[in-house]
Amino acid sequence: MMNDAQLRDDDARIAALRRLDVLDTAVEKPFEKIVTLVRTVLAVPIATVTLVDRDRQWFKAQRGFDVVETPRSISFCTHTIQQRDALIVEDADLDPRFADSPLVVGPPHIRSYAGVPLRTPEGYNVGALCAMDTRVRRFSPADIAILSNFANIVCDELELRMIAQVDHLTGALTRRGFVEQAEREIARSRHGDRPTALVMLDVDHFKSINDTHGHVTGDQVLHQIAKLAGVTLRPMDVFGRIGGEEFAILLPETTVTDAVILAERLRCAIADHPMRLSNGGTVHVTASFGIAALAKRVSSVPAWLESADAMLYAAKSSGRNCTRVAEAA
Amino acid sequence: MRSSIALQGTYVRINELHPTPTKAEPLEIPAELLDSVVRHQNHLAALIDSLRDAGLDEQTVEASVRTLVDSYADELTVAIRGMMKGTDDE
Repeated sequence: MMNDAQLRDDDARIAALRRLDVLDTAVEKPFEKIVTLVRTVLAVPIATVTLVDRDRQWFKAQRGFDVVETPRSISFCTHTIQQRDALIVEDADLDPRFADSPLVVGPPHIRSYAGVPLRTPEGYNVGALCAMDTRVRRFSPADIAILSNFANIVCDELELRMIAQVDHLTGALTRRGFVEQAEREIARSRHGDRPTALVMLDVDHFKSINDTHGHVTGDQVLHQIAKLAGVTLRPMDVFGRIGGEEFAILLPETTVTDAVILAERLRCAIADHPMRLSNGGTVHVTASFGIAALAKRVSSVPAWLESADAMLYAAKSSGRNCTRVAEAA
Repeated sequence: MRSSIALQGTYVRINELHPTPTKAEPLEIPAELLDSVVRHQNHLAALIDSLRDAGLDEQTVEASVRTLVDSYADELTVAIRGMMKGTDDE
């Protein structure tokens, strides 16, 4: 269920968009097929699956609109995502919001637009499914009903992609999902020359927790650690379960100094938090942390993980329940 | 093409979905995906209704929805295989 606060909270909306892990991904057939169908069924020359990022609109799929992205400021969809229902513009020349837009006065010369918000299961409008024409056009209620139903299908596909990447015990990304995010973060960081850090954490003596209390307790511990990470980390951070009791955290836009602060905050939260069990008991656990900034010599996610893992091993060797950081190179 | 959807959550395998995918492996749908799959089934049913309401002929409706059904079944297969692999890794 969407509320007005969700419509206004762009930071939370962007975080929801990031969780979908779809920006800047390759062409995918389901979305291609949907825009093709929209164009055919509604008889429009242009159809797009548009995702609205902080400063741009990015097209997951498009027909009749041969760019990958445009500035958000000139987009129709930035208006669509601010409402619950479809945005319909029958004649852009008569609408002061769009009459001077480069997308109207120049290619692709949009004259009429219908866009239905793409809403996540949490209730955030992350983008829109759009049908556009180069002539004045009236979109009928039947057209909008069809477009809305196609938009639901787009959301289904986005949700399916996301579910496939989530570890169901902890809610963290799977190893595969995490690695895909880390690959994109490496590219983004290199492109913008921005700092990024990777943290690995491993639950101390987890085998003895399982041996002493059983696997159900072990699962509850992992679940609660993931919950602690959820409240300790920032919305932009990426949390993944990459092995049995091993997690990784991607910290975009973060220096190694700030990564240490974040890791230590989570380490203390775990150590100070008695893990409540379903049988009414509690168990105390600690975790060890290894940190590696994205150094110039690191060229791949496996190499980056290896670097953080070496520091994790160093933390284990130093007595556990501590954090170790790779030397900058 | 059938547009009404059973909501009992009794779907077990991809090849038992309605509308039935053209080609689908008889993979069991994990409980974690069932809500999402049932929701998708309902969205497909609503789409079919709206296409018919707009006056599209049955052949066009069938062709449009067939594309979506087969595409979703393919993605679902990949997702389930990924989840099975993730479980095997643990």
